[in-house]
Amino acid sequence: MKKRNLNAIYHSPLPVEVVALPPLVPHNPISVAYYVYQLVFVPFLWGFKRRRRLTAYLELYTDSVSSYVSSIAVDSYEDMQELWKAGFFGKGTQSRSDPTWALRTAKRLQEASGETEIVAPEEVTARRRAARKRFKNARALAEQGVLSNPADSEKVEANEEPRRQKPTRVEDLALRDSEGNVRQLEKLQLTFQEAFFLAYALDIIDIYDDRTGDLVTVPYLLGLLMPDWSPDNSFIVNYVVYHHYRSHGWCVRNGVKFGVDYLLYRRGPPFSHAEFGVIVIPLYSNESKNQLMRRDWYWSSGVNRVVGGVKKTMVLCYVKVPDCIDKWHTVEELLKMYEVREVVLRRWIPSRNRD
Amino acid sequence: MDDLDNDYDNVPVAPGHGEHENAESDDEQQDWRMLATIGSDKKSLPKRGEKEYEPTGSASDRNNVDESRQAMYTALNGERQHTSKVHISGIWYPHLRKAKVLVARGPHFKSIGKADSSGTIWLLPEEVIYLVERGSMSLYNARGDLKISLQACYAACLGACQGHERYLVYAYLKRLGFIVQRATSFDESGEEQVVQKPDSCRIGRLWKFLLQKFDSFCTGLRRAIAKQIPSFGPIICGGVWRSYDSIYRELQIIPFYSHRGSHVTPKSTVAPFKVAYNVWKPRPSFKKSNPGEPDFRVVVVNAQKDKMPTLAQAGALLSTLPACHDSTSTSQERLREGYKNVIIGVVDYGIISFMTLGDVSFGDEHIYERHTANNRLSKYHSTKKR
Repeated sequence: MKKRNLNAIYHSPLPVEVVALPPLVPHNPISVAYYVYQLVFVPFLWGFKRRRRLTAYLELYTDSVSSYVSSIAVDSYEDMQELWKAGFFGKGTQSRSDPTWALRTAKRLQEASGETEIVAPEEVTARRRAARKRFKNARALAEQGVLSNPADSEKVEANEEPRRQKPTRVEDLALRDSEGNVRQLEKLQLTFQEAFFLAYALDIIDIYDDRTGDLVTVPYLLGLLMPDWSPDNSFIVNYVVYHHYRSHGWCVRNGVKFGVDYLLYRRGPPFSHAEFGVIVIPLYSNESKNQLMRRDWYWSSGVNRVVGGVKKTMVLCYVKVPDCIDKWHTVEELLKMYEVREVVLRRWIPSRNRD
Repeated sequence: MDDLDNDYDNVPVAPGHGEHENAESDDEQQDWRMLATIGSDKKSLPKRGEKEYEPTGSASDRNNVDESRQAMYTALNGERQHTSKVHISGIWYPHLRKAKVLVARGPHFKSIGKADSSGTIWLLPEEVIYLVERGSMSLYNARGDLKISLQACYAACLGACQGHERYLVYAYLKRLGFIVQRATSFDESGEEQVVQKPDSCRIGRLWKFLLQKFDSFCTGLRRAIAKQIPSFGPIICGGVWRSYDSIYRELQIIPFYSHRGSHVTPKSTVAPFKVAYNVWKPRPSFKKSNPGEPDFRVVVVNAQKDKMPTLAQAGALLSTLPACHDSTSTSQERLREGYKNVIIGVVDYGIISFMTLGDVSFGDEHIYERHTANNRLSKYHSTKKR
């Protein structure tokens, strides 16, 4: 398998373009001139250029009493790719994480004979599992003494897994458009925190109401996401944590599969496993309320075993909740009313910490 | 029995596990067949066996298990003996809640007991139970005419140990070979004394402050030029950004608890979230009179009675501890272990589970800075891919 150059594919940690200043060599006049040009004129030229904006659609669910946001998703292929490649935002609705459904489907429909380049992480997993299964079967047979010659096991394996030729299904025909390309049926679903971060903090995404087609402005979006305006609203508390880790360079992704609120990747899922699992705990000014909300040791032990079993460290992230969030002029002021403090919790094994 | 403790040192470490080693399970199956090969020569005890993965159900597998079990029975049938050369005897004084040692012999006194001005060695109640329980000591009543049984020893001493849980943790760590001593905050009233090192890096802080001022000045300028100061953002306005570092610095608006530059005043802790024991790794150079900084500090809680601490309780506990990392540690180490940490022994019906509680601050670690440094980035990359 050809190793892809991950640094080239995922070169920027956030979907914002950066123009670095060239290195300055003081005794070289050309270098100085170029530096001045970059420093002074490029920002001037950029003043006329509009930043490329991405588009997302918001789906509102309305019942008799109120309406609330049911999902926020991006459906243009280019926007999905940009959001994934620069910062690993969102999740493909038909994929494990990276929106690869179109690629995988195109490959399946091609009925490619022989090995093609591996594109999707789902495929890497599937191949690894198949190889492991073959190995286990062969080993089990060898253990039972059925086969003594390893060459025989190769034969058995070849018999067991013949190369299947998949027939084209009728429903597959509908997957192609008139030009024979695979239709883009997948969307990239964003968590509310991700959507708010992209819309408010980075200002690179425009969110439209799915039904009316109206632009959802940041104040309106904030009103939709935290309708009750209570200081410990789960959206705002989680957003504070999300923003905190994003702003310190971590790639933050949902951690529900590991029993935590967020996973922290140093760079992103293709580079390495997540190092930390974050649990968000609101912290009130009223200490007796904090006392009531204390968890027991069984809970912490459970989460710790799950998180520790996949070599991550459990982080308890306390968010100090203000008593009242009525007085603010900017969202920045609102967010600054909250404060975070972290504590790590790890299992400690005496016999392994003695030397 | 001390040999058994030392024997753990020889357990081979699987390659590539290094730092994660202590996060793994220690509940491995013991292969008792090792005992069978020892026979009468008891000088060296066995090493821990390999973990046998995925039993296949074959005849050889069953045979292995049977052999191992038989070896365990044989080992348990062996006669257990103590030498009189290192036997200790002492007298329990209930009103002092201490035991006076009459004959101090053996290696235990390197780390156990405390001598008074006249040279008499006194033992604390948990030390007494521990020694009597392992058969190293005979305990007598105050008149010195009656030998106290183990049961009576428990009855007499346990009340002075500040709870059964604390004794269980003490004995467990002692049996594993650690050196365990009471911390000053062991009693309800005692407080841990910590020498806080003054922060020496003033120029660095001043420089950082100036940089921050310059950054905020640039932002103001940028916003004035962009003519957009709306209430609802954005933080990252349009225009040219020179590096991701500057974008990240701009995004950092959430206040966080920082460990840099702030002087922590120790707060008063409340039971059970007080350091009960100071623990040192086994070392031959250990001196009772000058033990040095402990390797670990252990808090003992009861899983049935006590829940997890609130941040205020945990913060008070952590405020009494000294920082444990020097300047050479990596950000990964600091984030995994915490700037300071304490071990919590959670006792539930006699089963002990240890956890470390570490004080960290992700905001103090500028991990984003590597995105601009290309050489460091490639170095990081090559180490991550194994």
